[in-house]
Amino acid sequence: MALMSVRNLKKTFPIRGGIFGKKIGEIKAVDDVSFTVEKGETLGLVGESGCGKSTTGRTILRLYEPTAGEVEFEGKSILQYSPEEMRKARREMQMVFQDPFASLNPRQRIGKILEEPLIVHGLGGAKERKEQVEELLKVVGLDKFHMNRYPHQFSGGQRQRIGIARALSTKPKLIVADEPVSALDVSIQSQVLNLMMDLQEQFELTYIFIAHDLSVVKHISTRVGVMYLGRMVELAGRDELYRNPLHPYTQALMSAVPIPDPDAGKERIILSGDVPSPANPPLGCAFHPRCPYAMDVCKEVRPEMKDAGGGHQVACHLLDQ
Amino acid sequence: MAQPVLEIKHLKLHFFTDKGVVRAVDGLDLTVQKGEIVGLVGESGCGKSVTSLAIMGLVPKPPGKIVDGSIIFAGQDLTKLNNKQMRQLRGKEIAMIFQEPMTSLNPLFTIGNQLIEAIRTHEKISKKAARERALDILKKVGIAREGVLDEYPHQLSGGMRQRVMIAMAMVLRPRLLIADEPTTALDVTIQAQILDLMKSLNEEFGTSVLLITHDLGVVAEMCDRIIVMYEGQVAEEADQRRLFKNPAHPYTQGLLKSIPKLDEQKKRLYAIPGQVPSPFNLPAGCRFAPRCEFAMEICRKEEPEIVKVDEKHFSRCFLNQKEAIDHGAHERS
Repeated sequence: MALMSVRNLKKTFPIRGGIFGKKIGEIKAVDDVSFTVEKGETLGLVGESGCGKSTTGRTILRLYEPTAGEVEFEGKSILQYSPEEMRKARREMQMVFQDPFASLNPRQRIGKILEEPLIVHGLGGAKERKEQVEELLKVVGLDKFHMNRYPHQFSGGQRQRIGIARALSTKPKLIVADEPVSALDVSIQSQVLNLMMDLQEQFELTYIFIAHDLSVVKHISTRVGVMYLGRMVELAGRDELYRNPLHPYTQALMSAVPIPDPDAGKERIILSGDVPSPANPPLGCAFHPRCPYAMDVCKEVRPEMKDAGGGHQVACHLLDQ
Repeated sequence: MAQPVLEIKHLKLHFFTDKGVVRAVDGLDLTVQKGEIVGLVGESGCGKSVTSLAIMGLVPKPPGKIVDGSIIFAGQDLTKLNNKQMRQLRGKEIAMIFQEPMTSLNPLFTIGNQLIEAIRTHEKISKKAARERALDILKKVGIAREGVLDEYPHQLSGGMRQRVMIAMAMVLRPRLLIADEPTTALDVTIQAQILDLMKSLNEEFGTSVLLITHDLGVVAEMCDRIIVMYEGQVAEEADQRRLFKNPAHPYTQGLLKSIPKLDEQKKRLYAIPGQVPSPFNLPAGCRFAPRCEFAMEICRKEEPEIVKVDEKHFSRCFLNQKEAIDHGAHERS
């Protein structure tokens, strides 16, 4: 059984305007997305800004209420849970955010920040909690004396370690990491990626790793999903996806990544135009206005996700040709 | 060789703050030849952006102060010019584009208004002629729609805004374009468009480009020569091939090893240990020594000089110095 299974997830945000704040439209941030996450794997979600990858991550933890669809965690539908039940369930699924400064209370000491989830979930007495906080700091490569410091006294990399420690404190099964290394310098980025991979092994964690950087996602993921304008366009095993991208968008995205090797000498596909607005997505395939292979059918019919063999799923009409 | 477009000699720019002196740029040498694209790379706080602001004369003084060195542009020392003289150069001879185009465009004026103002500040031509020039340059940066001139910055996407910024920078055909993280705020498919555009403008106009970025992939694709900065100093300088194929400085080596690459899969990434030291409290000796896996006794005591390790390849490291000395001794014998 999959640890988490997401079916036909939709999330729309209303656009309000006029003096009475009437709803004048909606943004389809996540538009019919389905995937499963197996225990112990890392599912990478990539895409450009506005593609809905972060909203997907937040919606499956019910930080945003989904508009439609189904989210199951260990076989149970979490969308039916009451707020109280959901809070208990969140012990098993935690989140790491991009900007660790914005997500750490500047007025609390690190010890308190890390202890809070334990108090909320009623885990252990005061003495045990303190021991656990010390243990957590050690696990993420910080020291005991850091407990008495405030967030501003740490560097970006250290703050992200604290964010990870906080997510780990309730011993979760699933961690959704939303751009956890995007704000970090390269030398610090590799430290945090290594830490996350070590912790995954040590605590048998499952990750949903959301990022815009294809190289980073490739490094850490076992399976990767590519999103475009609220939709999943391709989903496959890591090696399969990067070796054999089938969707024209995935192909363009990969060819656009600059490679730090003067001999790489690859052919670059330069897409024309910008990503359309999610308030007014194109009919049919959302990618067709920028797609070099667009056919007539692409303008009218939205392609469904289909298996192209060996679990490599892709939503593109070219496959039917 | 012909006179370089830009020659920075031993530049020291320090900030005098209440907490102490920050040696943001500390003895920097840098040249840009005509038509060349030079990359300036490093992590946050290494002094790469301050260097670009120093060239433009945009460092707030105080707290900033150029304590030593010179910035020679087209035969004159920019550090000795007054505000009025600088203003005549800025935009006309040296142009700059920034990371976030929205903050460098005025939200209250139309694109046309801002482009025409840029032209008419430096050249005495009619509004109509300026409008023609504005349209012409917009076409060159890939915006064919005439209506853009009457639109406001918020009506454009991030990629389009950056194109407008590039148009504004290039419209007076400057000799030097400084691009400070021009694509960092953009998505990769848009980044590819903008890099492509910058390269073709460089070829068409022969404009020299100083490209400042933290992205080693971007410099590998764009630059002829690359300068790696660490804590206000040049750690290594080499042409693009040598830097990526044969990096000499342990910091460059570490950086290259620590980035995940699309075309290879590693079990574990190399991580440079520790973190960038506080600028108020720089280590004695080599600034990279506390994080360097090859650090020797001498590295913690003395500051290494930058030495030549190969043709057009320089590195600030005692390891290279030793090799250079050995090499020299060998040649003499």
